[in-house]
Amino acid sequence: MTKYKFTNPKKGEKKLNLELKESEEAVSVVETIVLKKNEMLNVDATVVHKAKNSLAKVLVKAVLYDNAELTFRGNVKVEKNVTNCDSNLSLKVLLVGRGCKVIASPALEIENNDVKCSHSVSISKPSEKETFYLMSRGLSKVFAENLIAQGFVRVEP
Amino acid sequence: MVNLNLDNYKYGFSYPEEYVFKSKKGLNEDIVREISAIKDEPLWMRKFRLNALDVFKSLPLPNWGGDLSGINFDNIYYYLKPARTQVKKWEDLPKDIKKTYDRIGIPEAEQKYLAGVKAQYESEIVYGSLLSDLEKCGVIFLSMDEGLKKYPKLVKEYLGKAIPSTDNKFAALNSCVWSGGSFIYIPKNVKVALPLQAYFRINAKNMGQFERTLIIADEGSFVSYLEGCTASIYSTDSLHSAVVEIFVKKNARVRYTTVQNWSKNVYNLVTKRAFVYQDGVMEWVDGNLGSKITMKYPAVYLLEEGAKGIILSMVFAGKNQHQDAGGKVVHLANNTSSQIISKSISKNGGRSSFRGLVKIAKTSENCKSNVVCDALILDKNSRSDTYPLMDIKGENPQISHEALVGRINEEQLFYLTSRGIPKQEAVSMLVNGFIEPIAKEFPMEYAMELNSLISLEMEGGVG
Amino acid sequence: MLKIRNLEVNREGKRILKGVTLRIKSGETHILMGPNGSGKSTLANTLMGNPLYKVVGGEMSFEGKSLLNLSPDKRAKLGLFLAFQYPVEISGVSMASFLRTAYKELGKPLGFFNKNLEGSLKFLNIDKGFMQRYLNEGFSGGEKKKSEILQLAMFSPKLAILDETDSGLDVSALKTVAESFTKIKIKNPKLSFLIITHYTRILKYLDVDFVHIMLNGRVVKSGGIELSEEVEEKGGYGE
Repeated sequence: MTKYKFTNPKKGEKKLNLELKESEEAVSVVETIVLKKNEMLNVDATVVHKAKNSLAKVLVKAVLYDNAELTFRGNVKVEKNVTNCDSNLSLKVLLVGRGCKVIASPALEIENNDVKCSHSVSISKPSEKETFYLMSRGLSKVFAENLIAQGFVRVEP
Repeated sequence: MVNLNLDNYKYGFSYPEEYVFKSKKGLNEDIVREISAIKDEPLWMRKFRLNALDVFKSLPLPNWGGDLSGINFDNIYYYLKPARTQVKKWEDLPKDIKKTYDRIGIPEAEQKYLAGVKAQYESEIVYGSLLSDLEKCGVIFLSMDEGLKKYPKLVKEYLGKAIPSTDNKFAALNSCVWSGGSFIYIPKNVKVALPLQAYFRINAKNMGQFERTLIIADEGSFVSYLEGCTASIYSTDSLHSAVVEIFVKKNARVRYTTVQNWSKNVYNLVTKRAFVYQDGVMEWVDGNLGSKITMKYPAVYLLEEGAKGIILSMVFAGKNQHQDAGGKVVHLANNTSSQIISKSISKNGGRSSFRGLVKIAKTSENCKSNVVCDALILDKNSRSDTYPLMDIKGENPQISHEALVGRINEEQLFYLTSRGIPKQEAVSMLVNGFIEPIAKEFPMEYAMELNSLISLEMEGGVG
Repeated sequence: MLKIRNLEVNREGKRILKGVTLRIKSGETHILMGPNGSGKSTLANTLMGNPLYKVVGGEMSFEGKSLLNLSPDKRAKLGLFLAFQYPVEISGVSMASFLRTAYKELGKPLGFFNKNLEGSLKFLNIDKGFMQRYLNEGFSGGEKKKSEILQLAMFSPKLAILDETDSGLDVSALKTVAESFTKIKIKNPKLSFLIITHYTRILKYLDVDFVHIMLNGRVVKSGGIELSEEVEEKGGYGE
């Protein structure tokens, strides 16, 4: 699996433009984002399958602190006649602050049926269960949430 | 398709059947005035229509969704059309439609009615008594035209409040030339046991070009409404643009089920929206089988705490069809929840697109939303798109969204065939299994017919 | 009844079966053992016509009819049945409607379906509620095995290939499974079994005619029960 990264064309922007042109190409991208207080970021991910048997897995993880704003635009496209592709685009957002804003539009355009394409988005605060557990061990709420955020960022699924 | 009651006169509904008319195509102020005059409408309604006409002219066509360039607005009868929009002779009915009728098991008499060949369908006394029972409870269930005549204040209070003419070009068009549709009011704490069917109110002419439906469920009430028909309705009208507005008051619950199977020459552009108040529940169950292009996104606006919206959408896109459907939920209050489940099937070059919106306003805390959209593409000429949008601003949201697109699972197919089930039937079973979570929400008759229809479509061969 | 000669099979271009020869007569119970990767599951799936496997040499026939190029449903209709090791889950298709459809397709009289089903559920000790669940969905390992055995009981095939149906079972569950096979065989004495297993335990509870050992894509040894005892003694298949 080749590993790719998002590029950073200018401040506040991250872009991924993935074109799988070679048969059997397999690409994995994991991008971890931490938006500090008041930070804004536009993320654009485009994955186009142009060759048979290609595989792409793109995972974007983001932790948002107070008033951070994340805009995520995704597009996965499988062209006609491009068979046996496997593509997954995932966005996981952990809201650690207040006043955050997330706008996500992961699109899929599939023109061939011999594929397995999926995408998923999840947006939430650290779970009550996890926070409670840590707090019951003496950590303050803020500390607990930060710890959870750190774990979230570190773990590669 | 069961139990059509069209005998207006028997049950005392008055609806002017025939007029002296000149068939006029196209849309202009004169025609709009004429429509209002013939219906003998109050002044405010005439103004409503005329305003909408201006809005219609000023709004552009949407630059997304289906390809609407084929609609010629000047070549359409907006009203005063010839009585028959269906075939004049049974023999003229397209073969593939007859085939579906036979397949679903519709008795010939009913088939002829659906084809418009027979003007009336024999009704059953039971519906007469159902209606009178409802009246005793204070339930109002009338055609929109009658509703306007008998309850003008109530209509004025709600009409256009969920979907104003300015909402989109087709809402404006409907607001301008609407005719037919249902007006329903359920009083406080009344729970209507049997689903209300649109077919009570519809006669051949009314079959849906620009229906306008308004449902008001007062506090604590419950009603389930059914619209449409699994049997393909043949219509020479190429444009169908309905508007449905629903108000679900505190603790009330409304379920609106549609099965759309217009013939494949129809552009079906519908705007449906529900406003839900405290602890109210709105359920849209939407089945899209027919039409050339459908653009329809049932929407739920969750306006007060505890409100809940559920949108179940099932879509089948076959040859030359583009189904652009989905759902919208807007959370405007704390502790509201929503769920959208969409299952679509594309076959024979068909295209299905899911368009969804989940919006959580800045001031809405603790809201939950879950969206699942799965698409099955059955052959390599067909296509499926997913265009979801999540706009999340409130505190402590719990949002999840999943989409899966692919072909029939080979492993599952092998399992079924290894048990002696021939491939075609196995594929049918898998397709029916795929839509099962939504199909089971339809009333049984629809569900069975849906299954038969799917099997029939599958017989066309699997790529 | 079942004749396999020099069968060579590929999966995704890789040769797995390198010339398997095996014969099973009506009413016989055969055991097939061998280490992981020796090709046991491949053989089972190939017999049933799993599209993942390609026959590149040799032949296989059932009651004189060649199985090559026959679609899986046609093989089922001939009387083959495969109890999968990991039965796939099919959401939205209920156990009841699936069983009824397969029953009908296999040419059995629908009039007897309900009776047959009730009888089988009883004799296998399966709760009626099972029928309303979706095919194998959310089933525990044990429930999945029950589902396969129920189908075996209802479809009365001529040859039942059981792919590690005993794996992961504790002693009492194993006994129950073996008992159901025995019961089914009593009802249907002409039924042949090809039982694929890792463990010799099941042999304690069944009447076995032949034991075969598979290694590296071939059947390397065939014999009676004493063969399995040998394996047990040696603690493995080491040659």
